[in-house]
Amino acid sequence: MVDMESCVSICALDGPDSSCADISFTNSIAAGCVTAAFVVPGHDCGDAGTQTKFRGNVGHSVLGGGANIFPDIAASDHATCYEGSHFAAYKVSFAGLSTNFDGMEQRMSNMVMVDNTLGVSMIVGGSWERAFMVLKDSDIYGEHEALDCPGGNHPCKCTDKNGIYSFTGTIGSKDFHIRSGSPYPMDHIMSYGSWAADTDFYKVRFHDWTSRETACGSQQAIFNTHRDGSDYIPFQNFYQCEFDNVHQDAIAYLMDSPAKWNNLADCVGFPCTAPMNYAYDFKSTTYSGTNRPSARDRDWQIIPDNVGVSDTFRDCTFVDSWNAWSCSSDNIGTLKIKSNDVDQEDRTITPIYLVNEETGYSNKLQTQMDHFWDGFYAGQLHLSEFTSLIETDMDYNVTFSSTPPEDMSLEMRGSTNGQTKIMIQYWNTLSLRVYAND
Amino acid sequence: MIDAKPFDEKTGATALLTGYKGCGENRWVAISNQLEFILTPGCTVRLQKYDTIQSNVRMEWTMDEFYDSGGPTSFIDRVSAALGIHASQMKVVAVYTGSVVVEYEIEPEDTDDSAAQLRALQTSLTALIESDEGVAAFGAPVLSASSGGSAIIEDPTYNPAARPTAATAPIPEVKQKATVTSTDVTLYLDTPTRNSLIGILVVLVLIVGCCFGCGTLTICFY
Repeated sequence: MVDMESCVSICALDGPDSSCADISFTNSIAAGCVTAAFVVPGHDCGDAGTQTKFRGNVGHSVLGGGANIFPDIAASDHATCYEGSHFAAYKVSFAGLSTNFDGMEQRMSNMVMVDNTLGVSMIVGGSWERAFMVLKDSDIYGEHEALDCPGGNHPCKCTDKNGIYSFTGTIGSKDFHIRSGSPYPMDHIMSYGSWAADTDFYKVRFHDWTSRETACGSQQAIFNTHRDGSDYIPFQNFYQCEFDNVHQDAIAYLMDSPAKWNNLADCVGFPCTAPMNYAYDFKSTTYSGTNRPSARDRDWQIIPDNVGVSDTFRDCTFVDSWNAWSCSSDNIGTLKIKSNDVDQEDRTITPIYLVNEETGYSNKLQTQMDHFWDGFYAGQLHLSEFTSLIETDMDYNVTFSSTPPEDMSLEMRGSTNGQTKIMIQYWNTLSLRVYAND
Repeated sequence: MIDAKPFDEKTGATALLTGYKGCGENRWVAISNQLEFILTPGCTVRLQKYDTIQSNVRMEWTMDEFYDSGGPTSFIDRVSAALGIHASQMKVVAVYTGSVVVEYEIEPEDTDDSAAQLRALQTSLTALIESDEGVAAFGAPVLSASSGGSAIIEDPTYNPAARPTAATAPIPEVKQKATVTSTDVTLYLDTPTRNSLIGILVVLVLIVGCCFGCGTLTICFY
């Protein structure tokens, strides 16, 4: 049983309402809320400097999330692009800022996140050809000196602290104001990963992430893997970001694919593989403050500990405290593969093996998770869409465990360098037409 | 659409990828059923199966004779002319020894009724292979042929499983068991052997004769 109350819910409680418009909410504080401090519509893209629709507000000490900012259906073109800006969240038990809404481009700017459990979580929903999540000109702080459990008093709520909860894209999306227990919280994923989702973190500053553990003993890391990201996690592209007083050990913790996903209702045979096949990519990074990471490259990457994959990449070093690899490479990317056949959900073609015999690279890919549940049975449907972490200037042999799709698409993302030769093994003679960017 | 790499007469398969054509450059490796293609960052490649007639024909020819008579280009010209289709609808995907095996595909014209076209072409192709005109169309007598996975002419001595090898595998000698009678046996000897045997017989007769004479004289003496 979840109390679906938020402190402030604007134009959202009863579903989309196009007559709900011209509301301004500024310079307010919402604290001690149950599900979210604010559930509010965004403003037009590019209006961050002048907008007064939702500005200067603070959510803190919330059992749920900070702000859920959704596209305003009363606005002219928020399905194409909408933005949220000038909000602060402090000591929030879920994400300080969340999206999980249909919209081609979501932008968040001028945000301040302090001492939150999940930091910023953005999920772009819908079946778009291209979709974007942007976070820019924002400041994200680690644990504050006002401790969760002052004086070591227990019991108390001692939560993990994260800055970026890897952004992702899904085909489905959430109601603006969640009114039932199952879809809650906003960052909970309940549908397939989408083909198109890309990220852009621009001028985001991370401050005071000084240790791997919080004062009460929980885990603290800026970069994290979305715990529901079973199907697709896009490249996390950071440009001109700053690490200010950030300790090496507090930079990241990337989880392995949970073994509990391996069951008949989720991912059959072995866990879904998206968490092992993405990367954080940093360009033009700067460092400042007392604590600084041991390696301070301007351009670098973090990749998960995908055994048989990460250990074959050049210029990568395993960092034990991250459960991940730190890389300095221009050639880390992902290969997206999807079946366009009519049986793309019904016929299993996994495991798919990507192999490079020269380097010893071997990646075993799983279908997407079964997200259907009628209350008693799982749907036994798994979308045949896959992502594989690769080095872009290598050749790869792709072997499907059953007949390859008759119609499929492949795309290389991430690195802008190098080209790759893909060899697909078919089990019988057939004729194929090859299209590029058609 | 990105056309596949052309057939390379030197390798008997489609030409290798160079990467110079960029995203989508591709080749089909017929013998191992593999598609190779190039991907570049940000480029989406789409692979779509389309219906064709997949055929192969094995002809009583040597590779030298095949290429001397024009190779895949002339093969396509002759067969397409016999079938009454445009040469662009035919594609040779592999040529290998055994005597000469040509794998080729025929695609329909770019119209809506491609399934009916393929059925009609399949019928025409089968008739062509089975007819006397097949020799002229294919350039040599047809030893075996198949189309769409079904054999049209079968050659029991041909082992298709051996087709990936570049050279034709030697046919092993077959040892046959048979029952014979003495009247069936005829001994063939060359001249030196015969003379040697005669010499040996003469020596044996002389030795026996000498022994007999010596024995007789000894008895008479006593």
